[in-house]
Amino acid sequence: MLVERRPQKKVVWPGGARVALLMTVDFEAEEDLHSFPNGKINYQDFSARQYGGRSGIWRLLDIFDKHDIKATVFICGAAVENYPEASKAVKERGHDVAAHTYAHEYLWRLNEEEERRVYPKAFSAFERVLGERPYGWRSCFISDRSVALTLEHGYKWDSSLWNDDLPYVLEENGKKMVEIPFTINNDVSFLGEPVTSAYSTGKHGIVRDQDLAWRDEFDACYENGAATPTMQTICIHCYLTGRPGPSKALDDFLAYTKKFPGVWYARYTDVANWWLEKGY
Amino acid sequence: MNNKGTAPLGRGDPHVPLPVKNMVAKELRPRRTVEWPNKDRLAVVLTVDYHGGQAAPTHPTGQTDYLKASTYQFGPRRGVWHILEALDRYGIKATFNTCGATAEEYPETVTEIKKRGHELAGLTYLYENVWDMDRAQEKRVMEMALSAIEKVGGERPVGWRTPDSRISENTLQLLSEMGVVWDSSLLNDDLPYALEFDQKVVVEIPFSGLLNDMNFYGFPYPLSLPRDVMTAWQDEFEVLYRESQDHCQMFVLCIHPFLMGRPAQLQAFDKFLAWMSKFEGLWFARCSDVARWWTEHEYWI
Repeated sequence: MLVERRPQKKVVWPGGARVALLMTVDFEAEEDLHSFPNGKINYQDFSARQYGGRSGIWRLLDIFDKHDIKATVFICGAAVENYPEASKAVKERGHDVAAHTYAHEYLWRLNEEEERRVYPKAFSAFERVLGERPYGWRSCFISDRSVALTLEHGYKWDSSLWNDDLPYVLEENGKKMVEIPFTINNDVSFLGEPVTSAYSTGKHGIVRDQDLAWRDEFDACYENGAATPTMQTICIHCYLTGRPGPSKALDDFLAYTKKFPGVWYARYTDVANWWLEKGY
Repeated sequence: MNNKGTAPLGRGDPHVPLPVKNMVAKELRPRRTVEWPNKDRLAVVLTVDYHGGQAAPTHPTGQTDYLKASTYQFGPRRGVWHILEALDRYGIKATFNTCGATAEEYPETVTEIKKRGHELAGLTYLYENVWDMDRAQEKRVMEMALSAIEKVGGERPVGWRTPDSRISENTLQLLSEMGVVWDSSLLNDDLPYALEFDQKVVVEIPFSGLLNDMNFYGFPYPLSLPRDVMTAWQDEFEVLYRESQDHCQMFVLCIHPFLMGRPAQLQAFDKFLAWMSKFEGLWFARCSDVARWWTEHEYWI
């Protein structure tokens, strides 16, 4: 039985920071694909997403280097296999590398046996290309059993739920995992997907609005962070914010946050370690 | 911006997955530093997807949806003429990917496009969903499209774009068989790359949804404000221009006469063209200019 433990005492961040700013990147390349109802590949979607592996990820790595920020990059196991140089570069440049399932599976569509098969595929891609197993996991489309399965597979932290402002601990059978929730305030929410989907019209948002939206959220988190430390998670996709114009929104936003003291630019592993260390 | 990738060209990954699954072809990615003519740093490729709604959209009952059909018709009736004037104001030569049926129904627009020095390329015949066709059907569409433009414009096109980038797994190979030397359907890269089919090379000139006016002004609603769209295009241009200091880059726009030819949209676009024209080192190229340069210099060697 999965047990949730929310913080039992006042949360503080290292150095008394007001805001933990978690930059995260979903590196999927062509894995999250919207096909036509008859199963044929929609190359408008496919090629737009391939951009992420060919160019987008590199542009993002340069921006993080420019601001000296370490991020958490969720890479689909299949993307690790298809883009080994880029995946290695992510690790070499000091970012947290985590698993984003194997082929961006919609886990809620799978039965338990099928869902269990996803884990070793992601594992072996990471081990083969990056030399170590992943300890962090994200799926955007979990099933009822996903979180328990992730814990069972020895992950130290998970980020698959959209339901809270702060982390919390999940425990079962003596195993512990930190859940670090994320938000709908990601680049796909603002800028849209390449084609119509369950969540998007296929139209494009305006890039500068993305920067403003992030600033609004940062401002609110920063102001609230005076009383109780807060967390802002930014989720971007290589195929989208990795494009030239959107990358400028990221560049400008990061420059804006640098003006404020008391911001902890954390990777998910750093947050998970801190959380467990402090016994929240 | 200092690019720390292993190469400024393909950004470090020499072997990336093919643009089309199960494609029997080799992708030839750039392996040397790319230079544009006259030491220009940024290739600006203005493409116009020109159709007039000949494949009339229909209501579920089968009757013509005149809201959409007549919106598209604005393109050949008015929009394309306004755009031709704007391009002349800035001396820009563009590439008009034109539906075969549109060429046949509005031949004087095709004559004018050609007269003013722009390139005519294929955009299927009736904006067909080629992704849902078999090889023979798609080949027939290509032949009808290329022949129609040849008949009206006097010259067989050497370039192609697939509607909405929705290629089939046969599209690119078919193009190579039909003597087409460049394709601009895919959205997956910053710079061109070549695809080799049985010793025939097709140069792919990728573009993006972000620089496509259909994603801002097209159906479904809501519409975006022209001033907002132009700031988005300025942002895209600025970053590519900045990057072009280290390594040549490419800026490919896609506009539609039925959208960009409207007054407010075109006025904002005109201001954008004026703003862009002030930058130094721009090579305003048609797609065949880029393809010719690329194959002459064999950047994949």
